[in-house]
Amino acid sequence: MDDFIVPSSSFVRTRASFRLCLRMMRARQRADMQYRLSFALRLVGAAGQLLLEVAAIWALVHRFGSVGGWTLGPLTFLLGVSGFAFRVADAFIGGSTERCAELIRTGRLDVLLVRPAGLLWQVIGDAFAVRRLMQLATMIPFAIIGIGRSGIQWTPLRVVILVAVIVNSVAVFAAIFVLVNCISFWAPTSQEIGNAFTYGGAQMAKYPIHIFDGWVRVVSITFIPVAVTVYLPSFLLFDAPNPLGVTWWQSSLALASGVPLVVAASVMWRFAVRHYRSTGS
Amino acid sequence: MSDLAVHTVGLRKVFSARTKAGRVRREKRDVVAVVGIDLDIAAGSFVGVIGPNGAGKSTTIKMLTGILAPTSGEVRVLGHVPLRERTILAARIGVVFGQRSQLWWDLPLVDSYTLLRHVYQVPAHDHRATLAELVERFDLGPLLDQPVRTLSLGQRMRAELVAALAHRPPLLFLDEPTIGLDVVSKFAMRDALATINREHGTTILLTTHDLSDVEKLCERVVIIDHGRIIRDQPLVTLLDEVDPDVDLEELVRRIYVGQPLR
Repeated sequence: MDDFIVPSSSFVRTRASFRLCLRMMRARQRADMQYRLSFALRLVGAAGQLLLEVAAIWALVHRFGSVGGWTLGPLTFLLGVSGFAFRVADAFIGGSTERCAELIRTGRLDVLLVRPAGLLWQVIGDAFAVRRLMQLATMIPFAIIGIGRSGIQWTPLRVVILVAVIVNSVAVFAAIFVLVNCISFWAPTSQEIGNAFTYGGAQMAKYPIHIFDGWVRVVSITFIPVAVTVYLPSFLLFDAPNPLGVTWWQSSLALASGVPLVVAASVMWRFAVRHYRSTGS
Repeated sequence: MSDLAVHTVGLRKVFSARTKAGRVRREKRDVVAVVGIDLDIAAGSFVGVIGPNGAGKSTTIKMLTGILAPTSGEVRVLGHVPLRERTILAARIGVVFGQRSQLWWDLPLVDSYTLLRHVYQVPAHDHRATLAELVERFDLGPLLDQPVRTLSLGQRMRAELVAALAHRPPLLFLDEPTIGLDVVSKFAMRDALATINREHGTTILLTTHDLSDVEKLCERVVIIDHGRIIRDQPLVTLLDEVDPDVDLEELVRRIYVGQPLR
């Protein structure tokens, strides 16, 4: 019996895995739609949560006018752009942290491992939920207002920098999600710790890092490196109080921080999968 | 080498487990699940792997399919190193776990087959033909539009088998495929497996606790206990070791508990 030929180049395989991921997302969404009431309730819940989040941010800004010397414009930029980048990463990978732990705990990861497709892509595809796309959509106007009110003196270079900030931030948050997934291979019931890195990190990224005390600040550029997403590079875009004395080369370096993080996350993921222990028979 | 579907030398798996040794203190302890397995399986054969619970059968299968990394030893499946070439190997094998579904629970059965066609990148034309043949053989036609969650266990296992065969793998791993099946479903399943092995030359490696599966299907029996192969021989010569009035179940019981066979 002839078996079918499999594509061999790694680019072709990655592209195939990505397409498969999209198909699995659609399948997941159709499956969710089977339970219409729970689907509707989840959507309402997600929308409510987001509304509260936005309200809290506005209240803070309106009450104090400035945070750490940053006025409404730059603050909204920080909130909007980091929030948007986080929601992009969350929409596609966020659900996988919970799902990955569950697949490991139940041993269902076995089934994904014997399929000829990238494991991470399958986990991501299997974990997709439409409500995360909703959360992303509601963040878009916020990002646009933030960019509009930031007071950036626009030059072609700054447009490029802004795009780089967004792309890099998505990459950083995505890498953090994947790294959190890796923890599940050793501790599949430690969801809360993972959430501290991901959702906790996203909360931290919304504020000018210099308002935090010493050790939180250290955390924000080391263990949960969210300072690199928008705060550090933002000094290349506009003049805002800079009590930490961030230099232009530090800002530029932060712009490329996604690269080593994504590499680290993918190396770590491979290492973690090798240590998968499966369960039962 | 090329006509060996599976080839292992000294395949070994050690899990390190932490056990409580005080209020907080944990002791690290190594558990050897598979001690050192040498197994060669010729292409086209039908081999039954049996052994008591916790003997290391599943761990062995998981190392052969690229799910678990072996601690040491050499392993080749269809000429591939399972873990390193996981996705290449996965395209060429079919796996059915009796305890784990690979179908999409809430979607109509046919959707799972469509998704799996994309997983295995089978050309649409070939897939249509293969699937039609399998659906016919396993009598799944009326079930294709039903959500998987509404299928009975017997129906679902047939559906799982079709899912594992639709990309026409030359090697099929079955981990307790008849578990929980009623007599009618079990017999139908066996017929289908025998036919696939005979007509398509598909190599089949089956683990089971149901010795009548082995008796009806397998030409060769491998018995694993305490992570070792303790028997590996044709079924007929195994049965020759006991008096004719002793059945396979009793024979295997004696081997498991270490009783003399005669």
